[in-house]
Amino acid sequence: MNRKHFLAPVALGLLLAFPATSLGQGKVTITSPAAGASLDAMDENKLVYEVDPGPRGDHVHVYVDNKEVGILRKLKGSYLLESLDSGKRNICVKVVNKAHVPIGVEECVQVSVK
Amino acid sequence: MGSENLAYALTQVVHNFGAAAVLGGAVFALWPLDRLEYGRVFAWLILVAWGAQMASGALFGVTSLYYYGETPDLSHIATAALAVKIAAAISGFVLVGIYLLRGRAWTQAGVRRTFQSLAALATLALTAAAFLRWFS
Repeated sequence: MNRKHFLAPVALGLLLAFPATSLGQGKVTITSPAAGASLDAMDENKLVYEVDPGPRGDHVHVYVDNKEVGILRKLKGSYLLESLDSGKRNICVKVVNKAHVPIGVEECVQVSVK
Repeated sequence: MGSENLAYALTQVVHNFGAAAVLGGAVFALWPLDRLEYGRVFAWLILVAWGAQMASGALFGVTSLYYYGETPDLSHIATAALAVKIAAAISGFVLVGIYLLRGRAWTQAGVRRTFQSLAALATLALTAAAFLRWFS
């Protein structure tokens, strides 16, 4: 094997060996509801968010109590939170990649629903 | 990020060509001309292609696990679509395998029905794939 043929697989191997170099880039901001807010279950409760997906992110999933309730393809906007049950609820916005895997960029707020 | 995208892209290449072969192999055995005399050749192609589909599908999950420590986060509709895809792939793989083992003794009509079923399973899997892609 000449030098040129040897370098290509080595370069590919190195590339695959260091997968986590840009983990954690990007940001999610939930403007509304605020953390600790009290929501009325009968109101139209809107989630207002802004996302910087970073280099690994593609789109956004919305979760209520770890259950996926919505898919957002706009990086800034609002989403109607339908039929929130009363009690303490954990609302999360997570950036996912094209394969729908959460990449670790997220924000969550806890609210009380009455 | 480059390595992650490369891993997903190479897996997608295998998955895409597998999809083309499971459907194309079954359809072109029947249409536009009946080529069932070459049924075993088409069947081997389809068997390998379904195998590639299942392996590359699993590899998507493995790639996600490797880079993020978790598998894709799917909605109910996407999960149902994935279940349909897996069921279609297993059914297609088993059906074409049975044909390769025992098909020499089958009637022409039986072989035709087999390839029609394989084409239907491939169509079902490709349709489910679209729902899996866009409902997640």
